[in-house]
Amino acid sequence: MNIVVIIRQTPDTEAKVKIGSDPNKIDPSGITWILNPYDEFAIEKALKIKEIVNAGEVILFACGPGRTEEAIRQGLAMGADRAIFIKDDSLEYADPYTISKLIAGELKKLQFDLVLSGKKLIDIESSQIPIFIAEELNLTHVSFVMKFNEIDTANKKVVCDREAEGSHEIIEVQLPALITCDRGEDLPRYASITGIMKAKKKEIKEVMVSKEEIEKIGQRTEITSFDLPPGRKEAKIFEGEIQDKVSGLLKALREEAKVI
Amino acid sequence: MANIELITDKDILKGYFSDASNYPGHAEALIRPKSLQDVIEIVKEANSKKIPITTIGNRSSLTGSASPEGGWILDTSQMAKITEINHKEKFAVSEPGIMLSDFKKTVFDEGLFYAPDPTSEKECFFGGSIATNASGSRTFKYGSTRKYVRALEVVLSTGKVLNVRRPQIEKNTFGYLPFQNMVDIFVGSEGTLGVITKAEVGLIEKPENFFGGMVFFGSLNDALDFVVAVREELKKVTPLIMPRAVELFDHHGLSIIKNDSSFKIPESSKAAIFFEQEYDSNVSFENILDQWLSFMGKSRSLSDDTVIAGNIKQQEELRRLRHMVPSHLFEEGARFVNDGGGKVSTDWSVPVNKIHEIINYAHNLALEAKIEEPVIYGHIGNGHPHYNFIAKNSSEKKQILDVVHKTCKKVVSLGGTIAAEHGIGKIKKDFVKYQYPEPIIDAMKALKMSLDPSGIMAPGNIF
Ligand SMILES: Cc1cc2nc3c(=O)[nH]c(=O)nc-3n(C[C@H](O)[C@H](O)[C@H](O)COP(=O)(O)OP(=O)(O)OC[C@H]3O[C@@H](n4cnc5c(N)ncnc54)[C@H](O)[C@@H]3O)c2cc1C
Repeated sequence: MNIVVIIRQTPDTEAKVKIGSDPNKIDPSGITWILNPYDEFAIEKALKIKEIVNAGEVILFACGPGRTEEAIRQGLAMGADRAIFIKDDSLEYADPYTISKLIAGELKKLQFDLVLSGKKLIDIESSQIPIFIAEELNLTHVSFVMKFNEIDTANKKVVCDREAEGSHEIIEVQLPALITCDRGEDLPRYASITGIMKAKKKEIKEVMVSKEEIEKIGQRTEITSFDLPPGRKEAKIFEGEIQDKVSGLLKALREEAKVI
Repeated sequence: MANIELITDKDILKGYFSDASNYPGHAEALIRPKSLQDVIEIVKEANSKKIPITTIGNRSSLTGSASPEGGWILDTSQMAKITEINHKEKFAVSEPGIMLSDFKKTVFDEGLFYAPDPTSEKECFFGGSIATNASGSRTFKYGSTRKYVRALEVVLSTGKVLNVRRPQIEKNTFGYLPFQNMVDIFVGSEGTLGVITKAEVGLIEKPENFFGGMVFFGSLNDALDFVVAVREELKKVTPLIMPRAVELFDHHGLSIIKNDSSFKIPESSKAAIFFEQEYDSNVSFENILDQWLSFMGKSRSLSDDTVIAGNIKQQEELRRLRHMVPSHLFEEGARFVNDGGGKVSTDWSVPVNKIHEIINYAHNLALEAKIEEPVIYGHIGNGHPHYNFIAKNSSEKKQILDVVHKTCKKVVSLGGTIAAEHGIGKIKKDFVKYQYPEPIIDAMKALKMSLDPSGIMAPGNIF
């Protein structure tokens, strides 16, 4: 069973994002880039499936600027077999439509049974790329899957389990299919030291795209500007004796917040 | 004392009677000074009435040093301001009551690094860490808190404010060495000499990158061999590896973290070493790992299973798992306190080349006494494992303490110390005699009495 995992690099969750001199870009200085955590869950699920069925390959698929290679190496160190990387620094701010078109174009050339990806990107909170790809390739897709209850290679199907409003939905899909992954029970494995060393030798096939190709796709959305969320209002601290503090708090709750 | 509130509410007070060691204390009042002036007033008042004062940080002490022995509890939590961060000369000045991790985060966000890292850094105050000379896993590279304290403001029991500074001179022949540098007398003094109201500490450049890892071993002995080899390696001019932390998990430690760790602990492993290493951006991460691999190749490690925490999340997880061991033992011990049992923790240390000998010695003592095996974990790179027991009742506790006494005697005979990290407090006073002869202890007492003539500062601690 060949599994493709679509991955991306995002700023670390702890990163303090600053807006760049262009208001539609962020200032990259001081940002630590990480493998999008939900994509990491997807890699973990892919590796688990490969361990269970004991056959096939896990192929990482990335589309982005050169720095993305670090995230790819991390996925290879976890145990993925090889990677395909559509690499171009001009893709830094490419919109989800452009990226999915480029990936879908390359995916068409591959033999695969399952495509996995994270349920969303933690930077721009977008879930679009994998779904666009599924549409582009006419693949069945299921989103937000926590775990696979069954992998049936003989009948070429998988049974997905996803949480939906306090209940679980169990969905059987025929392969090939595209699934976006939620966290689930299996946390992403650590790379072993030998895994990291082996990853150095694993193949990352770079695919070049021309400016014309990118332009021809024609982006559908454009980031016009970034804004930081408004700062939180300061907390109100009541001073004085305990009696004064309590009556001050009650007064504020009644008259200012109007909640009692 | 007109504006200073003495809290005497029994229910509030009761919460302050013991620290993390569960050593039972008692007190008449709790006071929360907000300024140096408040501290001076409180201390003067107490001194005139001979009321004992136990200064407290966040009460994470494991020795009863923050459990009051009567009198007033002086809570430093309202004095928590960082007053200066100096980038040019790389130092910061702060009041004592800020949580150590908050202090570290604030200077880190400004591009600077405060190296001391007790495992309890999210549970202890900046001031408390100085009063106990706290240390942690990175002490392996950076040394303990003492090394970073440049100057202190201390209120003595008379109300006099002493400002002491680590001398900058390179030569001095005047006076006994400890008095040439009074900073070092107050660091680690466990509240017995005065109240630390401000401290200036040295900062360093933030390390560019680091990674963590966990190496597994088929036996504790193999892990100890590895530690000795690391120290030998570091003596070389160009060592293959340069860890900043070298910490031990024995098989009990591994089973404590097993269900919580997101990496697989190999079935055959009976011990592990957690390490961290810093590196600059201009060197290749893979090269460093290559060097670790070739170094590990010379040991009996299960090197292929070594896990590497290459991203922030995993690095934090490794440190969280390391912290889980003492936290788990703390909770486990607390279950037996009512039956006269509880956790019996030790923090002795020996020169690194003596760790096999002392662990074998202690192991045989425990076998002979038929007590349950201890959990051995911690700062093994400094020859400083925590060797901790859980006693289920008072008779078990007695047997364990007997073993600990014998071990401590041996520790000292091997050139070690009975208290590498947590101080003496009230719990380890019986062990003091193994380490220093009586005249030295008497000289320490005399020093205390000259700085605190009424003996009101943290009575019951150390002596
Ligand atoms: C889970 C756990 C893990 C731990 N790990 C480590 C570790 O890795 N390394 C380590 O060194 N310790 C460790 N400790 C012990 C403890 O956290 C440290 O000793 C810590 O430095 C104490 O700080 P505190 O603010 O809690 O001080 P407290 O416990 O409140 O007080 C400790 C002593 O310092 C004195 N003191 C506090 N503040 C002042 C002040 N402003 N002026 C004068 N005297 C003062 C008190 O009188 C007392 O004698 C651990 C404890 C726990 C519970």
